Amino acid sequence: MTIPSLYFKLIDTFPMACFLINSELEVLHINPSGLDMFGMSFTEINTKLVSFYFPQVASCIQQEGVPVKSTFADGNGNEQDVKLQYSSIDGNIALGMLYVTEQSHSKQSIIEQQKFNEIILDNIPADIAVFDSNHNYLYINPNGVRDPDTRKWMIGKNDFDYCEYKKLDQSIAQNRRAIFNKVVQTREQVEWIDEYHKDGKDIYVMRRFYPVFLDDELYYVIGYGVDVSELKRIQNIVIYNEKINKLILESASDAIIKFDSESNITFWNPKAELFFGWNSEEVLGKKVFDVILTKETGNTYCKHIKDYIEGNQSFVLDEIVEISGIYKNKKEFPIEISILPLKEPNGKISFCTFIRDITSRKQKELQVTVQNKMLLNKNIELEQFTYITSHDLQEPLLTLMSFSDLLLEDYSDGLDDEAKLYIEFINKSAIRMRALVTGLMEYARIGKRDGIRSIDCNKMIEDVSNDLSVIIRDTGTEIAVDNLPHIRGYETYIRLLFQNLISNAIKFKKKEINCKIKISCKENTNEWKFSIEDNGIGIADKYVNQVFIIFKRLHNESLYKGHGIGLAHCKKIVDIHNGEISVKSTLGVGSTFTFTISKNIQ
Amino acid sequence: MKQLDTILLIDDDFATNYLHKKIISKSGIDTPIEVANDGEEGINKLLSLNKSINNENATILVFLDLNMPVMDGWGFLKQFAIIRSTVLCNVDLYVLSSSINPDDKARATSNSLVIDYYPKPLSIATLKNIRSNYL
Repeated sequence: MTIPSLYFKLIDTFPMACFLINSELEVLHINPSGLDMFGMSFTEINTKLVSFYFPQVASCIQQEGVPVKSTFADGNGNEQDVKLQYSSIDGNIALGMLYVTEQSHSKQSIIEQQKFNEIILDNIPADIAVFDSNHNYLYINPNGVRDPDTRKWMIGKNDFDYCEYKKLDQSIAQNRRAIFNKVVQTREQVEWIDEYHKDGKDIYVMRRFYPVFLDDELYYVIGYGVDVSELKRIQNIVIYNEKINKLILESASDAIIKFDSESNITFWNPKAELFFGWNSEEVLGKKVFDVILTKETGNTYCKHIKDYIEGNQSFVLDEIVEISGIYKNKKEFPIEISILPLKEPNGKISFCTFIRDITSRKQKELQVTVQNKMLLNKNIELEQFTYITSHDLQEPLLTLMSFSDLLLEDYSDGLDDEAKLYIEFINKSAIRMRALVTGLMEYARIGKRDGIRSIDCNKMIEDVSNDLSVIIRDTGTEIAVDNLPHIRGYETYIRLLFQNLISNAIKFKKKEINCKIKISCKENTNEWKFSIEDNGIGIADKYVNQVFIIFKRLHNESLYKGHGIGLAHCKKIVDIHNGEISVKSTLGVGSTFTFTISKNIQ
Repeated sequence: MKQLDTILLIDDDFATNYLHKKIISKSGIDTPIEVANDGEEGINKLLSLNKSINNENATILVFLDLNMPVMDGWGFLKQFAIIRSTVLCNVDLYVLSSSINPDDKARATSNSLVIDYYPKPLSIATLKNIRSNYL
């Protein structure tokens, strides 16, 4: 029987596998999709009847037009489930078309797929388990249970069996069962974190039960577990840091206020409450500059913030600026403000501002200004005093001295001895007065500084000794000097200081023995401490505190000459070097003068 | 050598002026002496002396005190600097002061109009020394 080629052409265009068969169940033609399904050539397929490949073909022909389940065996021994439909051609039962309307994957490919899945499951760095609807294990991957024997043993068992086997607390199994039941009941996945303590480490595992339903029936539950210890550890650090940051923000001595790019307050610490009088609830969400600044300054700052957001950084926000803040009761007070722009992870800009109440500092600054002014006035007074002593008081004395000289010179012949003695007294008093006034002027001038220089104290003592060489030689004085430091100070005055102290020691020596002077120095953190020790007559206890007062003299002029100026000068010189001078003395044994010179003289 | 015409003492203290006149005469200097009691009077005296002498070879020797009422020595120096060009005579100026403050001496000698600074009172030796500069 010949078959019109039209049929061949027709079935070749069908997208599903299609076979032309006759009543003897011989295969007459197969379309390209059909050949694909077999993986063989037509001639090979043609050697067997169609019933060989599709065992249920007879029942399919009987139920023409209805899809019928059948198995399909290809030439390579693979089997798969298909659905077949038969249709006769032109009512001729001897000739018909067999369609494969549904084709499942081959068993082989299912097995391959399974193998592939298992490889993935075995190697995935997570615990994977599959449970049946009764919470018994169907599958566990090696990450879940490492030991292969245990793993094999676990199949068909549950967590209670495992706990018993491992002699573990049943509570873990109970907890798991409760979660499993919840999953079954709610039909939704549940996620939780297990916490273990192993080898002194905290281990956190994030677990999940995921139910799989098939035709509305619970098919199985997939258990899933990932070690999140590192994440958790980082999270704990973050939580801890947040806690600490919060503590810092709340206990900081500055007001700390955060606000968003719209200037709405998002954070307001306790110091902000204290400085501005508003509590956190009252100001959160409000415009920051309306709350803390005066209207004018607030507007300026609003503009700075706007400029910053728009990228015009004309104003440095995080520089500390002094402006006026405004308290709840509208009272202004001085503040120091700096604003730190913050880039949030979402790319938005927010700001953190630090504010310090500088009211008390401002008051102190004002005080210092007033005191400086007073000091300036005192200095002017002192200059006036210097002028008076150095000039006004001199003139009458000079006149006294000059005319008493003239009197003696020009009228000597007309004066008797007593008259001459009187004039002598006038003259001597004038000379003494002049010395006192000179001393006073010099004392007042000590405040007047020349430059601070580095001074080699060894060299200075040598120079002073040279200046005093005559008196040192005449009195047989011995001066022992330790190795002295280089110090910084006013050279002229330091020299005068040493000179006064050395010549004082010589002046107040005991008559019967030679004068011995010992000069030494000790270094302290912020100062040099000099000592000048003598073996002189000493000072009675009751006078020790008076020796540095100007014009104070402890001895009669006839015994020890002097004007009571030297030690007053010494005290003032030490004063301008930010130091202290004192004396320790034993009457009849000797005195030690000690003075300090600061290392930090401005 | 310049010719010494007049000595002008500018000092507010009567006793000092008296003393200086005495010392000048003791030094054997017989140049006429004029006295002014403050800086302003000193300027006026200087101008009238200049007018009466009217000789560019003649010298007026000025001893100027610093501390004076009305116009002090510094004021005199300032004013003298202004009128100097109108003065035909030679003016040799010494500052005399009873001040013992070294700052005063430094300030006075730094002034270009001042030849030198002497503490009061003038000594015979100083005067003889100054006098030797003139005819």
